[in-house]
Amino acid sequence: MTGSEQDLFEILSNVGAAKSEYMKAIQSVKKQNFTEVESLFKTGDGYLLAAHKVHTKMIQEEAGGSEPKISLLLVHVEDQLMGCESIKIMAKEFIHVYAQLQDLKKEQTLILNKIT
Amino acid sequence: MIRILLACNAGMSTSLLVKKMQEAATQQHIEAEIWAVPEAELFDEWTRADFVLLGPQIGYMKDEIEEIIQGKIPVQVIDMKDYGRMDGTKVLLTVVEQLGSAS
Repeated sequence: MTGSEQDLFEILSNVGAAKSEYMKAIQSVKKQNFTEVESLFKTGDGYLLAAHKVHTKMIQEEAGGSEPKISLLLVHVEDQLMGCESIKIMAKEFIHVYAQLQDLKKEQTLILNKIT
Repeated sequence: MIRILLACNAGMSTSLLVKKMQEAATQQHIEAEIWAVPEAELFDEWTRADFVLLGPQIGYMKDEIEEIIQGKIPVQVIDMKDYGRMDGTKVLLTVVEQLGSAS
């Protein structure tokens, strides 16, 4: 495996692990468990940052005049990075929606208890 | 003969790991069938396997996949460090070790 391939797989494994943490956060709030969200996001952000560091290094190398090898793998890595960023943003939105849903359910129970 | 099935989003990045694991198996004289599928095909393919490995990017699906497999064969997420290094030998030996200790 060449140095640039090694970089690509390092991004891929980190970005994959990050995406998995954000998805776990959505799954956990879906089950009304809000306690793990913070740590899942923290771990995910750590992985995403590690991926970005390698990515930035590659961009800087290109800016420094070293021509990158364009491969399907590189395109796949860029795609996974983008996907992960979107999932992170959407996961935050989902968490807000599930939190509001839980509040609404509580309110509904309170109201129902009053009228029955 | 051990049969190891790898799954990830599109079956793309795991394909290289499959190649590395096959090379490692040949070197270590381990008789193994190793192949990769996209996660959507996992549900048709797992019955042919002794062990299922998931790419780190679908680690969050482990519970869902385990529900379908119902403990009939082990399911494990590939260690992200081994995945990042494409360390076929390490991944293969982890599976061999676990299958060995289970039997």
